[in-house]
Amino acid sequence: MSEARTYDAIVIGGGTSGLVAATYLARDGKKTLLLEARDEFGGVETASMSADGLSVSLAAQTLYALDPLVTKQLKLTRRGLKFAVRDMPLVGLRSDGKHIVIQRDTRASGVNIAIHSKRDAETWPRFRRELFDLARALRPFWDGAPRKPLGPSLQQTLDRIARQGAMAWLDSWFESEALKTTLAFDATSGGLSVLEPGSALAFVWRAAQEMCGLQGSVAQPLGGMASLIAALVSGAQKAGAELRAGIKVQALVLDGAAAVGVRLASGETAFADIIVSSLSRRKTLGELVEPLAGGIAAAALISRSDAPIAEARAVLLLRGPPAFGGVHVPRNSRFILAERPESYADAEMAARSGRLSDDSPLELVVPTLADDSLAPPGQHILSVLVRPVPRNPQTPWEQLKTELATRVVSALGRQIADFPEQISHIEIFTPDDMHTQYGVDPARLTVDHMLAPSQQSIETPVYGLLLCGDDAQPVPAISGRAARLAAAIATGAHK
Amino acid sequence: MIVRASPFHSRAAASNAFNQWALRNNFTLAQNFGDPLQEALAAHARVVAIDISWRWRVLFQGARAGDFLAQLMTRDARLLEPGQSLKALWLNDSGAVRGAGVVVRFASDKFLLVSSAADMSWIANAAAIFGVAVREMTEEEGGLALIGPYARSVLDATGLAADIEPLGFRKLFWRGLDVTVSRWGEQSGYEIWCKADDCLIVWDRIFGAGVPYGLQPAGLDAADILDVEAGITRPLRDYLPAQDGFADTPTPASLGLASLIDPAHAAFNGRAACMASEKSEARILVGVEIESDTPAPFASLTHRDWMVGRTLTSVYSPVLRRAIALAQIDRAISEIGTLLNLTVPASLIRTAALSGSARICSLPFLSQSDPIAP
Repeated sequence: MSEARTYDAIVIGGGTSGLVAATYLARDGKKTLLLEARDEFGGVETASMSADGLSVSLAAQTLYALDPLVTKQLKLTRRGLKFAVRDMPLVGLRSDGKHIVIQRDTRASGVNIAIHSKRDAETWPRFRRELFDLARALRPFWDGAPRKPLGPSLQQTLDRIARQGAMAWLDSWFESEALKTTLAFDATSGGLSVLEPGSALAFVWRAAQEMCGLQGSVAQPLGGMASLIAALVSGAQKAGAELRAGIKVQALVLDGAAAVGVRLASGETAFADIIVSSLSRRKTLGELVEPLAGGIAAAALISRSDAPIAEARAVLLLRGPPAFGGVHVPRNSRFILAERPESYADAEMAARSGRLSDDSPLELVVPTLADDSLAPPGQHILSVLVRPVPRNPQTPWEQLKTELATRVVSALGRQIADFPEQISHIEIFTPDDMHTQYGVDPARLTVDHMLAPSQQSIETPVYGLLLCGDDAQPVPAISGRAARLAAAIATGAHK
Repeated sequence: MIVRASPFHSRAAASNAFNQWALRNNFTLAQNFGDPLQEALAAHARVVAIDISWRWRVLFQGARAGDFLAQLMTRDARLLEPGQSLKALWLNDSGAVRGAGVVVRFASDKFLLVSSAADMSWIANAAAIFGVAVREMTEEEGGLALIGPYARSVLDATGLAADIEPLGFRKLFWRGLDVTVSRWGEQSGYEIWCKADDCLIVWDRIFGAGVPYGLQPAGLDAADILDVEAGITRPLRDYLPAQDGFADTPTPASLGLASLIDPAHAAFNGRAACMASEKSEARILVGVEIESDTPAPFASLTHRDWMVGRTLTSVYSPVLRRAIALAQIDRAISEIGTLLNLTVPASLIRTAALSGSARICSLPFLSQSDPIAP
């Protein structure tokens, strides 16, 4: 790109969202350029560490919200996206070995829940049915379809859920701490506390998602997230989008209140009528445009949206498969380690005051149990999501990495036999890493944002500038839905 | 709420025989000095002095002060030379009016904003992003407006004679006092600004020089009559500014303020939404002459039983000898001369609803050189 070039659309960021947006725009006949700052596509989804000559993914290992329309319309399956696990059971690890296993078969789940509470076991099928019914009814709120007024009963339920914290909502259903703490982890997306209004709604949003044709399923892509990215890159190229890696966007070029192009770090400029950014709202409107070009109220909102809490990921390379003591659990599960309901509140308090908690809730996945291509023969990856952690800790994250690693190892050591000896490598992926390397900022979800029409989250006060990343979605997740909708808005197809 | 006294208060109190006071911008000011209609007439026939110390004034200083004000206001303050001023609006992100005021350029990096209503947090937070220092100086100075055909004569008599164009100003050293004489106001008059501590001396000198011209003080009631006659809407009196950053009302067009937007100014806050709303705004500002002597503020206006608008501030104009009102009305019914029905609902102080007729007329009711208020 030695001189200024003109496109119909420029997409900033080559992660899932950026690739999906670029593909849809190119499919619509737009001359589309996608710019990725790093040398390879995939964004945070392909973040990796090098251990023993092997590239190990630091990103999430599972998908639970990939937009079914994106999968279908971009023919991702035909382009190589396959799944090692289609529907992972959820396991709540308990120190007494009475792990709680929740799977699609409600009868089997009930048997397991009954170990902790017979009443909860009886309630479980009804809870599951009502949750899924409600989540399905609310899908039009989240999938960009035209909204119709909800019936009075459904509207009443939505109003109640929107005002409730997830833990209070679960309390109204169940008595078993083991069950409630296991389920509650999924309500803590986007910096929400389980005690905070909106967390119950985030829980319902998650239940509205669909993977592999199954509602509320969590799936593990075969070959890791890299296979999803490879399928998306292939689709984007096939559609005719021009994909450029290793090119950093320095700023947006504005003409009055309209975005008309991007200025690159190299000093070159590319022009387009449509700019779609997969970076965060803060990064896009706070760093890529002149101060206040996005609006004074919007700037104030961005400055107030500094999320105090975030999430971190610890990736451990193990010399053998982790062996959880206690009752038998399915191998390809997603494990939650949160012993007490207070663990959530304590961890949130600690994170808000800039500290790490002694008892942070953890989500564990061992992707190599279902897909041994992800690690050297005989070795296993244990991917641990730690949530919440402070966004801006009292001690800088660079120094806090060791402390976080120690706490994770200590917590897991209480569940896995001979655990410390099994570890060959640990890598910590902090909120700072996500911001500086991938332009990803933790969200600070609100009920208003979760219920806002998708167009409102996607459009910006700058003409021609659209968002398609996490901030454009009701709840941050690898989805591609906001990118699909952003492309539809850009091409005028979205009503 | 902190209630403040104007620096002219002691002199105003001495003249306010009936002890009639009112609040504006948290300042205690004379509502009238006995007869507001006579004060308003005097402004047309002779000359009156009105305390305008309540006007909100903020000073901006910093290398990027011009850039900031260009982003904030609907006209580009960077185009001003030092010593020049402009009138403009500031809008929220959705193009709704947050305020209107005069921007004065003192130096390349120093500007003053004079407005009828304060909006400190919005402006200060935005200025901080540009590294511009904001200082409120409302209480540091007092202001006296001289309005009427003999305003210039009174100034000449005080020794403050200055040829100042509308929107111009001049800083003068006046027999030991630093004063600024400006023409930022809308009533074809002059304003004299001075340090709060000098206000009583200024009052005495002005009123001393004004005796041959029949100079008298006028209160807020008379000022409101003059405003309505001139077709001027003011925040917090006629409309509630858009305090929410994303509210979409009131629009400039609905307040008759669209002329304060420079379409050539490419980047100001709320521009896109404002330009979009300008054509689509269903209601516009008009004047209505009420066929009665009784003012009808905030009354419903109907046309063939359809609600078509409402009045804003309404006063009895002693010059026109009838009640008049500013009104927001459907664009489709806004033809001059259209007869409307007017209904004032019953209230705590009026037990029965009032009804009558009103006729649409153009603004201003009385010709003024510049009908827009800071």
